[in-house]
Amino acid sequence: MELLRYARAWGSERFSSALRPRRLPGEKNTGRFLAGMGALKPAGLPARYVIVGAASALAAAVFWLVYTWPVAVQYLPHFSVEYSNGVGRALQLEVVNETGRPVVFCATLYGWLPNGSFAQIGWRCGEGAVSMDKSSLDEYLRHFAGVPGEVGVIAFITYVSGTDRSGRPALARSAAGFTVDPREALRRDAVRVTMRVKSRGAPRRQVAAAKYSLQWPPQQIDEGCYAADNWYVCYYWQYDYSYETAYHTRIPLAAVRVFYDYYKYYGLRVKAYLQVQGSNYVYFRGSAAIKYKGVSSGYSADIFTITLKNETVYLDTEKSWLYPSRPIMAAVGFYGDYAVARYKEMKIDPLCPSGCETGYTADVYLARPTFLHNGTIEKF
Amino acid sequence: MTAAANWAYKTKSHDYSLLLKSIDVVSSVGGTDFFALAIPLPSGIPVDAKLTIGVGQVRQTVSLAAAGAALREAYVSTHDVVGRYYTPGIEFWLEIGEYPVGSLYLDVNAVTQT
Repeated sequence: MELLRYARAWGSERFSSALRPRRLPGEKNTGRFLAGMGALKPAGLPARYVIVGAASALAAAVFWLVYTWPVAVQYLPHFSVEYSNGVGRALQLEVVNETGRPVVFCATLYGWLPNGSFAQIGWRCGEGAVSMDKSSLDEYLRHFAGVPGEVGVIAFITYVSGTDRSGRPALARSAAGFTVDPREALRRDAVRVTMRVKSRGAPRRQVAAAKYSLQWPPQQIDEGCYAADNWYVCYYWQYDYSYETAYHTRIPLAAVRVFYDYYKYYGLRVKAYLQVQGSNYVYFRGSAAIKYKGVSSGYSADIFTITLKNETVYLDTEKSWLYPSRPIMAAVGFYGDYAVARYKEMKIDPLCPSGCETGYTADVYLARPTFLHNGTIEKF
Repeated sequence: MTAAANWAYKTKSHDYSLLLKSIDVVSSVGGTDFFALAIPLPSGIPVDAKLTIGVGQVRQTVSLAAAGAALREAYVSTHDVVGRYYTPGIEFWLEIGEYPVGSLYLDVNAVTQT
């Protein structure tokens, strides 16, 4: 919100100064200055037409500015989302490193549909920012019009992260996610998402580019995802299968368990309370374990499935069990869905134009709460 | 609980009544005072046990979770409550860096005071 306030303040200042007639230094706001505006009048055209025309243009400009003025939501440090109107509907994805510098990447975006299946929202490679068709995102978000928060989009990102020992661009793989407000995104033309990844820095671009442009054709670069002479080898992740999915099931947030000495206890107590106040927000995030031919090569816990920003108490559940009469596990939490699914990484290059497996797999564990009609989370 | 099988643990004890709060478990593993808890995998899924769900909050702690147990009067003077809570050993990337997160899965047992 700080970013938004700053942007609006900056915009209004710039806008108001643009409307102001220019004045010479030291000149007072006198009739001479106003009369000077008459110099704008084209020969042969009545002044009132000029004024009406200028006013119309001004009104149109104001309307256009209001219409296109972006709404930005910052989720530091993971991602920011900006909604705006303009010409054409687009989903723009920007990937930067910790210092905000653009990275070379390929990204595949997935949505987790209410029926448990996964839908591909987009796939693109580029440097810094890419633009995709927004219609798939809109179609995905229409399933969540009634959700009182923001819904997640899973992003599998393969990006260049520094240079390896042999001087080639080194690759990093990340499964992360961002959340989108369905209401805002559906009524706006453009959604711009900026995601932050951990990078070991840019590769030595000149050396790498020269080397790889000489190593074309691509069997020389079968382990790379990089840019050289406006050419990319592209990777994407493909849904493979689900290990397990469950719907409207109990997901415990806090639990206490007693065993054989249960008779010694007066009581057990568990409590869970989720509330949003001010600019704070509550998130639900999943995780992914990335392997290469069965050997672990990375882990990410930054896949956001839902973020809740409205000021309300979403979950308030507390239970006590007095004088337990047997071993017991007492728990409170929320009702929700979960899925544990496997994705495999595919590569497209001129030798493999329809996609080949790279040997990388990602196991993804996701969960989301079930909401009641009043917008709170169903508890147990 | 798969947490018991796959995660490390810490213990905390009290004379007769133990109440463990989310802020305590998160700080005990080196996390921040943000609310950030992990939920383990359901049992029987053959994937990396490190995979977890996270529920949390940014900037300040408004949300919370707690779990506890209290002894019957007859055992108060002779027993302590020892709680074992499980630590997932993973980190969440939060606003100001990467921090370990906790969980609120608590096994308790009553031990004779020494």
